[in-house]
Amino acid sequence: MKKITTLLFLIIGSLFFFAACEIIDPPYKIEKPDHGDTIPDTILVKRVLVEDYTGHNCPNCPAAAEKAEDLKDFYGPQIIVMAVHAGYFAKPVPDDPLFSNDFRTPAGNAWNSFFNITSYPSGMINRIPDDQGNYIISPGNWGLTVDAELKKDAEAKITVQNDFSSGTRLLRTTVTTEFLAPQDVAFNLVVCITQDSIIGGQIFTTHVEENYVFMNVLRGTLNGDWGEDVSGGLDIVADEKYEKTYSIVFPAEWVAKHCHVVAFIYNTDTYSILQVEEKGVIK
Amino acid sequence: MMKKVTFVLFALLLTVTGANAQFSETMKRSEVHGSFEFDGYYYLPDNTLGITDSSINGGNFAFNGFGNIIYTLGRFSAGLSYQAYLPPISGYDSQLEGQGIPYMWAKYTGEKFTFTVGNFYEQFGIGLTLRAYEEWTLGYDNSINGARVTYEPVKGLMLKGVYGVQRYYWEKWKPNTRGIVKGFDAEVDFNQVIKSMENSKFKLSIGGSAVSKYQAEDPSSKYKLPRNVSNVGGRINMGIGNFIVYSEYAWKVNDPSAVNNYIYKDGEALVVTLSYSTKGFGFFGMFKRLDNMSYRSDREVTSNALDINFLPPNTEIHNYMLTAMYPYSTQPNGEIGFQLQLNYKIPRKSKLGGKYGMGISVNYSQVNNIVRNPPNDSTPVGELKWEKYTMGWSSPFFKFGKPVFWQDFNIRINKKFSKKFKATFMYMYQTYDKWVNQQHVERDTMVYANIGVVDMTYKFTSKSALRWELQGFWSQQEYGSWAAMLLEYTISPHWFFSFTDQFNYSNPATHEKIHYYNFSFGYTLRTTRIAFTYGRQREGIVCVGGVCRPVPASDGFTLTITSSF
Repeated sequence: MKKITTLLFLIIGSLFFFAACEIIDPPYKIEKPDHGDTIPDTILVKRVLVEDYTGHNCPNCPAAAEKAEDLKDFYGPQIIVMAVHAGYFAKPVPDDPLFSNDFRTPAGNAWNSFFNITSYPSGMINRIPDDQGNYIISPGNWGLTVDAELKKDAEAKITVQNDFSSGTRLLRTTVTTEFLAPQDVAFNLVVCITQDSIIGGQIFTTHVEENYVFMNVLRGTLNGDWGEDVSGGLDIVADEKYEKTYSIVFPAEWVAKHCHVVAFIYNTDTYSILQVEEKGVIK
Repeated sequence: MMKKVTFVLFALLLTVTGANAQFSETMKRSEVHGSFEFDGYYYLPDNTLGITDSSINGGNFAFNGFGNIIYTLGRFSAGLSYQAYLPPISGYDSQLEGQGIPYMWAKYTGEKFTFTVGNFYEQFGIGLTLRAYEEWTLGYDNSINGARVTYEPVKGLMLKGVYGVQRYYWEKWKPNTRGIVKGFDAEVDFNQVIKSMENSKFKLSIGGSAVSKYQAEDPSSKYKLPRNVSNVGGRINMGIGNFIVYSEYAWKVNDPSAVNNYIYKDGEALVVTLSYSTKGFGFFGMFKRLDNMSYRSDREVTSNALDINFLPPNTEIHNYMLTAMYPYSTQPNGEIGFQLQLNYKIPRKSKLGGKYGMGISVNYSQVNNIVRNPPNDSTPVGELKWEKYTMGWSSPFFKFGKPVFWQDFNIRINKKFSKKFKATFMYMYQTYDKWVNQQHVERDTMVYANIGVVDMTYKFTSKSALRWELQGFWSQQEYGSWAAMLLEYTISPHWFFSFTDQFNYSNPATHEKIHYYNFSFGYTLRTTRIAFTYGRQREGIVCVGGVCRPVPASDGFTLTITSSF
């Protein structure tokens, strides 16, 4: 009898231990602080680039795009999202007008291939690798990585100034980078154009959305797939302003009022992004 | 001094000899077993299938392979599995690409206890609360890496506990990523525990399990997410005479995830089976209902990975080329269905049975959507669409929803005509919701098909036989109708040669009227088998136990080598 009682206690105790759970009561939404839409240029903050590798034929990708928007909502303008359409699911579908869009870019293809992204949606957060050297993070883990990255202090400041002529559709953008401390490795600056509010077909897990609104779509870069040395090959010193100016004539399908310049600097040894900035092409 | 050296040398020699003897003894008691499989593919361009050099893009080779080694020494055993997907064969998840040892374990089996550390597989009941398993043909492996203890205090009472993290392709576990799984299971077999029931015709065993997962909260989430989610279940197995009844029920608390569109509704699952068998007659019936029962150790994962539990299908699994064309895929968000099977053997020397008797089996299975009602007055719900971050839906337990996901009626006759000749005749009628089963996006993609199979075997000698199949698949939907045939010549115990062709003769698109032919031959020597295939693979879906993976069309050579020792 004693043995049976002991066993019963053991079983019931184990059940309680292994059946740990939390019942969530409504309201399910958490009220989060409003971070506002912009941060004044005078305030230096660490910003984080969320690269969302996606495609219009990828059923699970809209959820990742939503995740990226959630991060933007939660952390405010410290988060900059770039949707990189690349890989199998981003291919246009011949003879299907709904999926005839080709959002792929040479830079997106090069990054997709270099970082060996083969499943979608996938992402990178400031291109920070984990202990095993993996840059790719699944959307479920973006939040934790973003949170960790935002806890770091800003080490550089990027300022973007745009001058767009609606007549000639010429954009002239000036990017100024300033480091807070000297650096003993080289940093490259990459300047990209992203576009919001592009309407097209997108596959969901349950249906096709004919008028899906694509946001933060990478349209191209102004200085190559991997950018160029921010200091022109010179040693990087603290508080020095490194200025670069680029120009591009917008193709017809780029809608200037929905476009942004995204500029980031990365360590050429580790590929990790130190700082990123975003500015609308038209204020 | 010399004496000392001699003594030391002598002592050393004795030690080495002793160690050697001990080593030899250990080696004698040791056993090593292993198994290997290598699947190599060489892809070829095929204009008919739309596969060009540029679409292959230099990736002509693909390789899936594994080697399992198990070492046993008395009560101790240990093992490892090497796996390589370099790159994975097309249709396998690209996240599998890589090679290494993802599975390593050590185990001690005592009289009442067993202890396992490292990677292990486990199943509680039929798996509604926990099943860690591996299915090589799907590239699926949700093994647990951690610790497992079993305890059998008295014969017939088994207690199990597991604790660990699940395999996710090659991704090493890190804190705050995928969750931690812990589980406990107890099962009592009353016919063993209670002496007076030892020889009883009434058989009874009951079991219960509790599983919980822990996953850190996402700090950016705008919604409250449970970190600990439990899934508890109970089961009963009764045998009375020729009848066996098995029932298992599981209940899961709120588990918002990407699979259920982040709803807070509880989940539940019920499986009941009844079987009866006597000489020449057998009956099997099954009822199953699933309601929001996807249970994974990462709430964001939607691919075939990290399932903690297993939701068994209630449909018959078919093996013929055309009867398996549209296999059923379990719908974890909700389904209700049943299966009935009758087997009857017409006795020998009867009018229908003839000299050898005749086997008849009839099977019917059906799966519907569950009924989804709004969970409250303000939250709308559709048949397959519901609002995020709500209670999802409410559903009457035994009510069948309108959309039929699957229906299969089939009748099979097995007849032996002579010592040399036997045949199987099969007719099947199938209803299949392609959109639901394959996550294809076009709605209104029901496929209705009549399928016929004739499978004949003629034995030339005791060692050589020819098997041929003729199959027809008649449908107005999707790809239209198909014809298929197989010729397989076997010379036991070493050789086989086969040819198959599946012809999509009534595809609405003329350029899609394609022959999917395959030539293969193989050689078996004891436990080693080598098979070589050349041909086309049609686009389709492969499912094992309701878990499926898509297979794209391909053309090329395959070499498969399997062995064990």
